Amino acid sequence: MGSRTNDEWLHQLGNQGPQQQAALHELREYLFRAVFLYMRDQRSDLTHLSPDTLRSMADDFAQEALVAIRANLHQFRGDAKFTTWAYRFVINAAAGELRRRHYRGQLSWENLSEQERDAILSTNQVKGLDPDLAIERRELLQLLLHIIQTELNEQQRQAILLVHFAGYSMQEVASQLGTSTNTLYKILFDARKKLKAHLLAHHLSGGDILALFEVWL
Amino acid sequence: MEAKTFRQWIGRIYATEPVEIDCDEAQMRLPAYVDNELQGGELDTAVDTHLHQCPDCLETYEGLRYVARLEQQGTLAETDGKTEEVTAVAGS
Ligand SMILES: [Zn+2]
Repeated sequence: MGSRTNDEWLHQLGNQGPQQQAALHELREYLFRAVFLYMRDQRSDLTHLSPDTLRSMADDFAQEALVAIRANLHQFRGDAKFTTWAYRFVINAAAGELRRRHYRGQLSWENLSEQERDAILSTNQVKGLDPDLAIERRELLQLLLHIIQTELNEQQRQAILLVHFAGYSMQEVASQLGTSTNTLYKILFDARKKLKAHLLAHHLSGGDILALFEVWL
Repeated sequence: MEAKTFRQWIGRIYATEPVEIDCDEAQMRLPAYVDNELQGGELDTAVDTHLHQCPDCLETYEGLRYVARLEQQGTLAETDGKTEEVTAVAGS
């Protein structure tokens, strides 16, 4: 492996002829191996699948990635090994498809305010906590809830609830919001910036908050 | 909310930078980021920040790092996927 330089890869893949066929064939082999090993060794959610099933999936992902790589060859900037650049396509093909398969159905943000309240205020439930500390914690959680409910727009609140609190994937939530992961990232970024600014305006550092919540049962 | 979720959330809020790169840009920079990491080079802090904030790009990064490391070790070339003698490489 690595028998070709980046320039050789680009040249051979980009120009028709027997060299192109050989390069395509070899690249496809690399993609197949990479995604096969990724699924077999790195995906605990796939351990129930037989090697034959994994091979068949790997074959599909390699083919899909090969098509995408050929269409995007002009975007290769030469700042990485060509093969590393190419593997990103096949890892994304697999990871994206597996996220689609894991869709947990319709995500719900009915009663958004209640869901936020439940998620945040449940954070404080520790029995036998020092009463003063319990009050401080309660006040901080109320403040967080207040900032979310008064300073963030509905889309930002939905994004925080689903991505940050419930742990859904960006892809899953973006698809539910009818937007792209890129836009969802921006929504969350704006929400985080507001939260950070308001907490800092209350003279609260991240360390202060985490220290308050060190005790956890 | 569980302790881990709460702490991660607070961590994400305070790790917010005035400017952050989006998923498209992070994805573009990931291959060089991974190669650099495997060669012990200096890391692109904008990508670091993005990976801290974005579970999907983090998933891509972890997978990419795994296969790029196999290639670096020469293990990827020995795999044909047809036999089960391929040994998983520890780490990552
Ligand atoms: Zn991302």
